[in-house]
Amino acid sequence: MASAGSGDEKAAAAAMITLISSDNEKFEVTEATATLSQTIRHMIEDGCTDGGVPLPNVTSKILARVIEYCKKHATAAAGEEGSSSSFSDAAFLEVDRAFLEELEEFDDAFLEVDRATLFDLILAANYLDIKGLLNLTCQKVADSVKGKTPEQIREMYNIVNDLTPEEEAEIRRETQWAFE
Amino acid sequence: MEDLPEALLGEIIKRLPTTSDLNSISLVSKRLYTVEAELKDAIYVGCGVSPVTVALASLCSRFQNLCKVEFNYFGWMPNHGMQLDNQGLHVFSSCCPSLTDLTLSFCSYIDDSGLGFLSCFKQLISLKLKALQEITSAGLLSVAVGCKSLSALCLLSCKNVGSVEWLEYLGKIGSLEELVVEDCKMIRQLDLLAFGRGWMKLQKFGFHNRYLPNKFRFDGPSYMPSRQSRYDFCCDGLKDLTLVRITTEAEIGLCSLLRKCKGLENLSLYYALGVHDNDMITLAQNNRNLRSISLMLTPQHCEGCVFRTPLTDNSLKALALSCPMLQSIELTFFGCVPEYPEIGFTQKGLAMLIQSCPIRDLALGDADIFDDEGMKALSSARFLESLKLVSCIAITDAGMHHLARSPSLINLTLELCDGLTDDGVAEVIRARKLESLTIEKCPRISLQAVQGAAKTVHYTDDCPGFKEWVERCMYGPTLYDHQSF
Repeated sequence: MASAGSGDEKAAAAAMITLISSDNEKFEVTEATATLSQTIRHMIEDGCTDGGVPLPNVTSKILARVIEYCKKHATAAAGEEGSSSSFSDAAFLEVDRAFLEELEEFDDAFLEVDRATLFDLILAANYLDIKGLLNLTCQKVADSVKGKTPEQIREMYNIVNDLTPEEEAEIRRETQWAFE
Repeated sequence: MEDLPEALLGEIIKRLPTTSDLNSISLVSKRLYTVEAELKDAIYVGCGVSPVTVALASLCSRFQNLCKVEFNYFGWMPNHGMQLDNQGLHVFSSCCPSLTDLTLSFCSYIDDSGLGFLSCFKQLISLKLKALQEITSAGLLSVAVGCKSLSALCLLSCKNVGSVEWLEYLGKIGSLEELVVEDCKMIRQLDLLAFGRGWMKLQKFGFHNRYLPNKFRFDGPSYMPSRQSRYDFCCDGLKDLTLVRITTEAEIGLCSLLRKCKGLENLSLYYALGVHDNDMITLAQNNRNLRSISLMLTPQHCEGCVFRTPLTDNSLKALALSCPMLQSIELTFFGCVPEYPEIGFTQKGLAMLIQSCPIRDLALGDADIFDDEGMKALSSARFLESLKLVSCIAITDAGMHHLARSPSLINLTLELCDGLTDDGVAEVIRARKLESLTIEKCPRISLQAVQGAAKTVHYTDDCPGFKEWVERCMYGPTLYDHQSF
């Protein structure tokens, strides 16, 4: 049994996928890493990944970051599957906890990017359909808006105020009605 | 940010937790205003919204996807302007056809004819009526007949609802999944049996009396021995059961539910007098999926002349043996004098239950039988994440020493625990990585000792927790709070 298991692992490790960014840079990744993206998972299932997967909406700079994220989280997913059978073991609980903390730290560090990159990551996560990454990046933007005034939000994200004073007053009145 | 497609802006806005953040977002730009308005599915309308029909028309056109609305006129005075009335409800039904959840609280101008308009909300799934003094059974019958999609009904403090034809009707249709009757003094527990076949599909049921009836009364039209057929129903689908302040007796009234349930996951019995060990043993054996149990117990005269809380270790033993999924336990004892053994459970029994089941949440209130030995048992409960101790005066720092070894503990709440000092709490703080720590009115624990000890720390000298707890003990908990969204 043990040898069969390791054989499978080898097979999985051997299955490599080539991702091609919009600026024609090629990235070799394992299938486990690539399939964190539902979009790519479907392509693999449909057998149309030979010769590489072109991703015309993602630049090499952003794709490199996305792959970094997927690599880390693919190992995490594998780790979870491995330990679920022996969840009753307190030692494993400790290990899991430490691992989750490490993952959290990774995510925090991963999000230390400028705003433009953050929005590019959101677009890429959406296009590639990577739930975890979409959640992480959208939450980061939401957190940055928390407790801010409309003026502060506009300044932070360079948004032009296209509401007339009358419209603004009307919105405020409605808002007061709806959330008093 | 403006470059993102609307769906993604929506993803970001969905993650804003407070209404003040959402209000700010809607004032940033037209686009954000539109996206925010499309996402908004719930509003709350209170006394200050006037004239209410004009406001509703405007709000409904702004929030196109509105499906949950609460009207609450608690504390209303005539100078607030007109309340929503029957006609207003009719107008509202025409501008908000997608409404699925409606709450009407303290609407003194809505009576049975207003309820008649509710059938205009074709998609109404959940209806909560609170403190509507004018409505009667006739109005509810029109709701039962007219609202074809209704699957959740919650009736609170509607004092003029008496007879239960509406309940019989709903029972016959059998589409209700959630039914809560709280503090409606003309509806008695035996009346609920009229629900008949409806019990089969029901998943959540709650019955609350405001005051504890002193004595179970067998007289009255609702109980006749010849009407045993009223008990010929199944409630296999019931997952959540809450009974508050009822006096019941061996299989009579709602106590019969305890013996019939087969798929119960959450059980709350607050001062359900007349529930005995054999009821709990049957329940434990029939409901292997039970996940949480919450009991509030007060001493009463049991067989012999013993004055104690009626459930004993036999109940705990049955739960320990039969319910392998039990992960949340709350036990509150009210009116037990520490000098006498007025609590039917023993520490040994509690320890056995804690060690047998995968307990994640444990709350103990006024459990004077529980001391440092019990805490030792807790230290080996390896799934225990949240612990709340209220007025557990027998626990000392030695108990905290044991707790420091509890491997999964992340949330700790201590209220009115006079036996604990800074030293004991410090030991837990050092040993565990706490997410939250709440200290309320523990005179020997200082603010300095707990500052920065967890991700969130709550410390107070005056004791809202205690007030809340006494109120809960006096009036029973309310399933729904005043402002549900």
